[in-house]
Amino acid sequence: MSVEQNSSQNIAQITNSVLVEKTKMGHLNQSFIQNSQPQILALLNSLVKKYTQGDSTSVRVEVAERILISIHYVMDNYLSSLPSYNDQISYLQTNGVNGLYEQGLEYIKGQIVEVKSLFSELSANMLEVPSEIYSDTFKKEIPAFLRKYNFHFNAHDTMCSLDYPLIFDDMSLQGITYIKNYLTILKIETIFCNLFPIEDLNDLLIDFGRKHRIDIINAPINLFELTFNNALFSFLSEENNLKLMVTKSQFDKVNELICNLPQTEVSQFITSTVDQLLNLLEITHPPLIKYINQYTEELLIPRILNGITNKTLFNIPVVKENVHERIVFEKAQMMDDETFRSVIDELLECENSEEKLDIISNKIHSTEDFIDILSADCLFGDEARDVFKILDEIELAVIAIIVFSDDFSSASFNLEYSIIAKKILECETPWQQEFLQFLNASDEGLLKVIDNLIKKMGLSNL
Amino acid sequence: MQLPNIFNSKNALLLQSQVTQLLETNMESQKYGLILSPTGALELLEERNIALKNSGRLEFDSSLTLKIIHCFCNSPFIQQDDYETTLIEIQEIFYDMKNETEDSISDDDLLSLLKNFFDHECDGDIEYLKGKYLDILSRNTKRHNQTKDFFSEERGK
Repeated sequence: MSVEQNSSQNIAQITNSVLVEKTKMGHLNQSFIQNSQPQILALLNSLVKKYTQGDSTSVRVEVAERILISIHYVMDNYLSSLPSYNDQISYLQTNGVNGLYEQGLEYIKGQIVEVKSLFSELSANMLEVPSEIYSDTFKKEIPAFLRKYNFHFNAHDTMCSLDYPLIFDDMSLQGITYIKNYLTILKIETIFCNLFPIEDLNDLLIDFGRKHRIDIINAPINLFELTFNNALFSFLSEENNLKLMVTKSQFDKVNELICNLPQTEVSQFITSTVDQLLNLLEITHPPLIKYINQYTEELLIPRILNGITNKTLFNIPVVKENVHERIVFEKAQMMDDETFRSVIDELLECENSEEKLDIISNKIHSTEDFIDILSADCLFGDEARDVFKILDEIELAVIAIIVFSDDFSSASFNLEYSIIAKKILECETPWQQEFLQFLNASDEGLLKVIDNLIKKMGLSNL
Repeated sequence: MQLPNIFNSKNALLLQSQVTQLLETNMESQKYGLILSPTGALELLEERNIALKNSGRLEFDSSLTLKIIHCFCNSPFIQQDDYETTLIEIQEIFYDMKNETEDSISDDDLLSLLKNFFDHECDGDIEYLKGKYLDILSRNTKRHNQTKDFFSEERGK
């Protein structure tokens, strides 16, 4: 379609410029917009010529639309930097579309310089943490943006995928403005994290991964939130040294303190504690203070109130496991496929349960192989339960960790009959059903031993 | 929306100016016994808009149509009877080929290739041109572009 005829409708449909909006609102008169639209199209025409480098008189509609959006982005981006609505109108009327566009380009060039400087400052202070998502932001994504960003034809395109999550990320922004805002917030969050020794932050991250059984290298974990929550809980526990580590006894102390407060006083108590924490850490950077206050008010306090109501405060800080009591479970070598198949064949050929138990006791040495045997439909009737009877407590605890893996997000997990009964109703895997029935029929003493072993082994041990 | 009203009001004048420009090509084409009538010029412009719409492309002036006339009017395979129809078809093929070759061939080079195929390989047979040579050109260009993209991505790693 040609611009002179059919596509004007199309262009108008994608136009979301300040011109149209302000005319609709009566801030600009009709004749102003009538003069402005041909200027925008002339601008588009000249940019399309630049885009094709004079090699082509036509472009795909999508290309023209993208360039038109870019033109509007450049203009709107500058207008939104002006202090007031009246300033915007006045600038438009005085300078017209071309003046606004040229000024918009200069403004973006300035933003690029700012972003480069911000990025270089942040790179020098980046946290040395084992998170690929975090380090990719510095090593891949922002450099890729700075290399590819084209403010002539694609000013609105953010052009990179920033997977590292910020606490407050304004996703409504685009292009250079988004990147500038992202880096500004990342800088604020990084300033806070850098107040603590990096070893402590790394330990905290590892503990977080262990607690939630996630791969910290590739998981999108916000470091500010982790650091701040633990710093606050450590501070609340009134230990002499403020650290990121929160032990079980520290948590219990804070839990009791907060839960004993009248509901109406919790918010005020947290706010004033945060103020004291800011003083202790000698935080004077106004944007950081503002950010922490926003985080406290909008996210942390509602989460703490919710935690009190649902008894899930334990999930807010990362509570250190008692490392001295931890049992480390070492993985044994799995069988190769051929050997495993031969064991299955042997089991299927067995004429009685005793023979099967002998084979399993003597030939299966890894948890994976054991689980595969249970899943292989080669144990019939009560045979699976008989197998569980020959396992020692540690082996039963390992199996229990696998069966209850989904239930461990709550730190209040205890292996009790009620939990087992609930799991029996949910569980659909036959061998797991057999295991749960076995536990259900076991005496309370055994359950306590297994429960204790589960806690000592650590949930991320497998 | 304001834009359609603003531009539609100018369309009649714009079209008249474009028709005049096309008719001026008769100065050159008549050397080869080819004349574009005012009705033919108007139809050529209307068909241009249809071709652009069908190929999902935008064009800011009618200079490409002028280039097509200048390029093809000396072809020994075009007669007065089929002059206008041939121009319309070449115009349509051109925009399709811009898409098929992923905008990687300039207007001038693409016109030159089309003219060469038309005159030297197809003896002026448009259907043959469309059915055979354009398919080959399109496939080769896409393959070339893919190879280029692959190596530029490898370098970027």
